[in-house]
Amino acid sequence: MMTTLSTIRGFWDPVLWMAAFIIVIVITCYIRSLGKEEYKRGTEQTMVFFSGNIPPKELISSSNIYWGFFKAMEKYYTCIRRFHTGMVNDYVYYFIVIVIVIIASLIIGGVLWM
Amino acid sequence: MIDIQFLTVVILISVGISTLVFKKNIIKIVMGIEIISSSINLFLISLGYREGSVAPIFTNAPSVKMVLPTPQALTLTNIVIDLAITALMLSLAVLIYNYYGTLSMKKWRLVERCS
Amino acid sequence: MEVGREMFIIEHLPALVIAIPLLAAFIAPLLKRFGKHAVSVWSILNLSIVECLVIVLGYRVIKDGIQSYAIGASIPSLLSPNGLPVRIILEVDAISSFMGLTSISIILLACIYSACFMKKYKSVERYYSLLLLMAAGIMGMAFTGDMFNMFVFLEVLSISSAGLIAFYAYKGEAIEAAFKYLVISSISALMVLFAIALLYGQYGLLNIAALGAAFRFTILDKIALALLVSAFVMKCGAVPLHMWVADAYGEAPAPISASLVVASQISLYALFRICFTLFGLLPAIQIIAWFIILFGLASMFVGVTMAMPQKDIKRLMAYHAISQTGYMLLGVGVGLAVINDINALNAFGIAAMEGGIFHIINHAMYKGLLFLVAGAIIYRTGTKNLNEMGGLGNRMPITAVLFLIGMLSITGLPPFNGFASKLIIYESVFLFNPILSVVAMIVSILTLASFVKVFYSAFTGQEQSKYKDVKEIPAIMLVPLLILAFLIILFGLFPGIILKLLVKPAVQALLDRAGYIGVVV
Repeated sequence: MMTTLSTIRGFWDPVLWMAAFIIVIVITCYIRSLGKEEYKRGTEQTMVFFSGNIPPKELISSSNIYWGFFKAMEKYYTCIRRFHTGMVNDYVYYFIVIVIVIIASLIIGGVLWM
Repeated sequence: MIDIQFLTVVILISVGISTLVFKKNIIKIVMGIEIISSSINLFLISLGYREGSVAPIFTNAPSVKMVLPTPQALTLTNIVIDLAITALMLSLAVLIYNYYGTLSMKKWRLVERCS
Repeated sequence: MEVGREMFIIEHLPALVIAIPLLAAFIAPLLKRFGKHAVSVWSILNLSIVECLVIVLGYRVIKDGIQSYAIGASIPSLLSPNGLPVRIILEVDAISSFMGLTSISIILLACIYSACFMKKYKSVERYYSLLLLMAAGIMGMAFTGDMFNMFVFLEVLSISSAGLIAFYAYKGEAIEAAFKYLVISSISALMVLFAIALLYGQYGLLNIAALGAAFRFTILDKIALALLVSAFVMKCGAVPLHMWVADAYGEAPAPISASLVVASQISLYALFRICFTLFGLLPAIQIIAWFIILFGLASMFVGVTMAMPQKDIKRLMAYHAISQTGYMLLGVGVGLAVINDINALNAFGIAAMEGGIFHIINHAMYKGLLFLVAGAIIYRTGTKNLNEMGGLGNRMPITAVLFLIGMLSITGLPPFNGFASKLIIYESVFLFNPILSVVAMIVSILTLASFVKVFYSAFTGQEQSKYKDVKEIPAIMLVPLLILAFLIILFGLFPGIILKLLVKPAVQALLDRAGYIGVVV
């Protein structure tokens, strides 16, 4: 087929995928239509579930999103932020370190290889 | 026995790089880049140098030996490029000085704006 | 007469592609007296001509093989009259025309976008002049076959990019980003020059092909290789040498951020050219390959994790650019690691390289689209801060849909183009080393997470009263966005054809070291 991309062990076809996707959507819509219809509008039944609390009115800004992730990864972030100093001196310093590491490993590796 | 000009090149590059790594003043950073550039020019020129030879500009050369012309062309190109880089950097330094009122990198650096 | 002119153009095609933007760049400021539109029309016209020429050149490369051109020779096809190349030689094979096509398309679309985006600024003629110079630098780096010429075009590219990054000269941050970019560029370019001098001192040659044939693999060659690799890795913005990317992409005007993506990718091309063509036979090339793979892994992971907490929309996308560069380094690095092992190369090495190279064009398109959409948001709201946005989806519905296309593509969700290239990378890298593939997939999930955050805070969420009168962006700005979105969907729907037409010849050209050298020597 025109749209098929054959990879090492299989193939990928966006048109087939879309067909499958549409079938899944239809099934999902059917299951959703089986839901209850006799709910009461304007009561708590139609409110957003916010762990039983009243949902906040003010804007949830982007900094608030994923705070749990950042809390869990706090050690990693403090460590990685130490490298991002924003000083051009440090950028040059890392460059020199990388150059020296590559030269050293090429020379050592060259001795071991031959 | 290492040639003295290559030793000079290595020393000059180290001086330039240590300026870049340790000096926070941006005029000094520009100077560090200049030093590295000049040392590479020196390296190129000394690659093409032949002792007792003449410049490669004669049609009827007085001596058979000439210095290599290509490294000189490369050096000339590098000098021109270097001029452009220096001019641009110094003009940026002027703008930075106007904006922040200081040339020391420590005082005006834009720290990573993570939340 | 007509036939003669056609032949003239075809004969001088590689030189014209570089010369047209270079000359047009210096004519552009003179056109200011005819109004601002004259300058932008002039730039768009010239870039379109270059685009057409690159397509013709690419067609000829696919049909007739490598195209070469000796600058200044009376017969341009006569490369080495005495067995040694004496002139600067342009050598165009499939990978360089692939890179040239990618770059010039993105720059052309960015230029069309700028016609409206930059209208309110006074000195637009300098902007277009520098943009054309940048195009000339990129095309020069892609098509040159000469080490020193590559250095010169690298510097042309650096100087013009620095000027463009500093375009918002009234902002301190932009000047600072430009200064940092210039320091980084000049130090890496000087190291490239030092490496060239080391090679010239030993072999007396500057031509890439002739150098590749003459190698003796001394210690000095290894030092030159290390300098070249680290300089180009720094220019393409891989972790841990990536810090300038966030500053430069974040502070430049939005169309320039999109063009800087392709400017970084051309350094990636230079890196691949050096590793494959120049040093392909070096026994210790596998060490370099592992370094490239490690750079790729670090870029993917650190890039995406640093992107997640960002508040500035363009800075966030800049970190994603770093992260996506990691995929290309990973794919091509795996190919380089097995270059001397023909079985492994056929089993998964070539596929990994195809994934990496395919990702280059995909990344240029969707990252270009995302940066331009970010520019559209900034154009209408005047803020880059995600915390201050909200509810723009109702006001700018087309932009929101375009952002969604770019977002789904960068996260590698089917059926968009990012998925096709990422699938090839995952599968082939899994056969090389499963851990690398797992990291790549985790990075993809984190990418989705951080773009969901952007989509939520910019387009959905509570509507802010200060953006009540925000309208959809003007039609001329929508045109490049729609073209990019169309290309993304096209590449997503027909990945097999694109792979066969564009990517496979490029990978074969990269692997065909003898063919590249044989043209000159």
